[in-house]
Amino acid sequence: MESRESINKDIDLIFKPNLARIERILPQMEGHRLFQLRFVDEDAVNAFAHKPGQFIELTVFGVGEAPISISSPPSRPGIIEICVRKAGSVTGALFELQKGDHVGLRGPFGHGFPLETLKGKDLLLVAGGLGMAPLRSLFQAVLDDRKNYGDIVLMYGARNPDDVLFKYELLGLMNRTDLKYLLSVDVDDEGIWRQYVGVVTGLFKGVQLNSENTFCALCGPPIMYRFVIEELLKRDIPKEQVFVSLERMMKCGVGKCGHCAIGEYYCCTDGPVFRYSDISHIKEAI
Amino acid sequence: MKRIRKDNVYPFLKEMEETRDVYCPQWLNDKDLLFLPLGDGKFDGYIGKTTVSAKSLLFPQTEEIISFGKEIVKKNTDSRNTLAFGIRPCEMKAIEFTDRFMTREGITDPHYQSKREGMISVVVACNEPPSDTCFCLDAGGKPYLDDGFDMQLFDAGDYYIAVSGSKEGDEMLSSGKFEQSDEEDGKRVEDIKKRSLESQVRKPGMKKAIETLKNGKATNEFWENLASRCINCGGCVYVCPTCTCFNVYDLQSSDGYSRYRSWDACLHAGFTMETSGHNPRPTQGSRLARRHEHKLKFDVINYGESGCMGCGRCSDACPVGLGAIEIIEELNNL
Repeated sequence: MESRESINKDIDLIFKPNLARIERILPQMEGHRLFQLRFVDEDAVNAFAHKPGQFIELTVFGVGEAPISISSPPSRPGIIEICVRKAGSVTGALFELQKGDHVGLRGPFGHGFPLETLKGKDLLLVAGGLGMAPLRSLFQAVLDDRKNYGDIVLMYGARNPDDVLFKYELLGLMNRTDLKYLLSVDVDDEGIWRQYVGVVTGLFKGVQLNSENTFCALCGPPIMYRFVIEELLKRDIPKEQVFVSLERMMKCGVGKCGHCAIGEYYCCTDGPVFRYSDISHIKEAI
Repeated sequence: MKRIRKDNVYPFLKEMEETRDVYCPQWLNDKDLLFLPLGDGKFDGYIGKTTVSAKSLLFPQTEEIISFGKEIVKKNTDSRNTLAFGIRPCEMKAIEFTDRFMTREGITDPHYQSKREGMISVVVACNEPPSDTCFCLDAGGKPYLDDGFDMQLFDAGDYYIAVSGSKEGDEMLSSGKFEQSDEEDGKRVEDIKKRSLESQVRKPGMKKAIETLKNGKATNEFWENLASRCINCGGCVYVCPTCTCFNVYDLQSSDGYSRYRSWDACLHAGFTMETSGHNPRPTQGSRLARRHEHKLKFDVINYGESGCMGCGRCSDACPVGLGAIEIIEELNNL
């Protein structure tokens, strides 16, 4: 007897990493590095198309695999940038690698920020801590296509002046007239910080938002969402206009292993970017 | 429709073994009834209710999914042809449910799918519940199947009445080990079905429990109280025919290393723990809620039916009385 006919011919690759080379390692703040990666196979370079907010599964050979968000925008193809904090076994081993070494990549996975929906709108982008890593992909994509968006406000809350990710790159944004960039740190023990000191919601003071036309993208620690969303709802911004990027323990990246389930959703396939109105009913979501 | 004498079952399976790997219920250490290879030689014709469901044939406890030899990446799938003999209707229904999960949203799990495509099934309908924790009727199923099998057997005493449900089933029925059925066999099957429906008395009330969860009546306190008994062993998950969560990890091998996946359980504290140390399900109550809300609430949202087939294996396995039956009963006390 023969096997049944396969219902899906193209199932080979979902767990198989594709070889990529570390092209450059750019140190960031302590314990954080920006890795520039490029697939070894040029067909894979050309085939890779992602949306801001999507992630990849990174294999460090011999150690394991971890989900990492993509920090570069789709508008700058060829190189995939990932900003990594040295935290676990895979990221620890990644920090041992040098320029020219190989890693494995799967993806891109999940739903990112919907650029088509955001086009023509005023944007409020709010990042907290390492949440700037995925959000950078979005704001660079938006800035690369600046004419197609309305007013843009970027808020970034870091713990202290040393913990500002992409510090110098972001400081360059201060001079732009087509973007309002607001930066806060929770604490400034040395008194060296010239911007706002306090939690990120403090940055809302003095910012006017047109609730009908403003779409928001948030990425940060769980505690940030609660307070920022409260602030947004106070300003009559509908839940439908708020996009949040959620973090979960994602193992397989393709909605099978179950680790990243959030209610009826899987963070890896239905997210990691969710419309807030889709998940506000799930108690464990935020 | 044909029939097969019970003393011909083993010879039939030996015949099938020439072209396929045959699995059937067999005792391991006289303790656990498991789907094991026929070649293990312990098959005595007893079907019963296996401790671990037939999911282990399609989603083994541990399997290698990728191997890396000097950075050459190789995918490993198991595409052997198999025969699973002695699957109970609830398990077959669970496999059909799992098929939907494993192929959802156009993403097919290659390691499950290759085994699924290679497997043919012989279901043995339940004349009466194989254990007192069976509640498939209450869970929306039946002790026999209307479709979804390659062959279904009905126990008629000295022989099984065999019904084919597919081309593969027709081919199996063409084996010389099957005999022509007589005119009465059709009626016998109907009698067996009727009696099987009447003989199942366990009815914890799943429908009502689904409504209770839908209406948000189960509070955190409800789950924390129950979870104070949970010892975090994950047994309910491992025996469940529709639980398919897994962990992924790399291990050294002779010429490099391999990536494996193994059963994992949402009841373990580390299951959702992020590298930062943040845990979105920080309490045992939140994890116990997850396991049961997954089946009785979220599967209903995503698939229009509960992910619990009423097989009762979790209630058999749980050392502290927190299987689906007990949870459903507790929900119905709210």
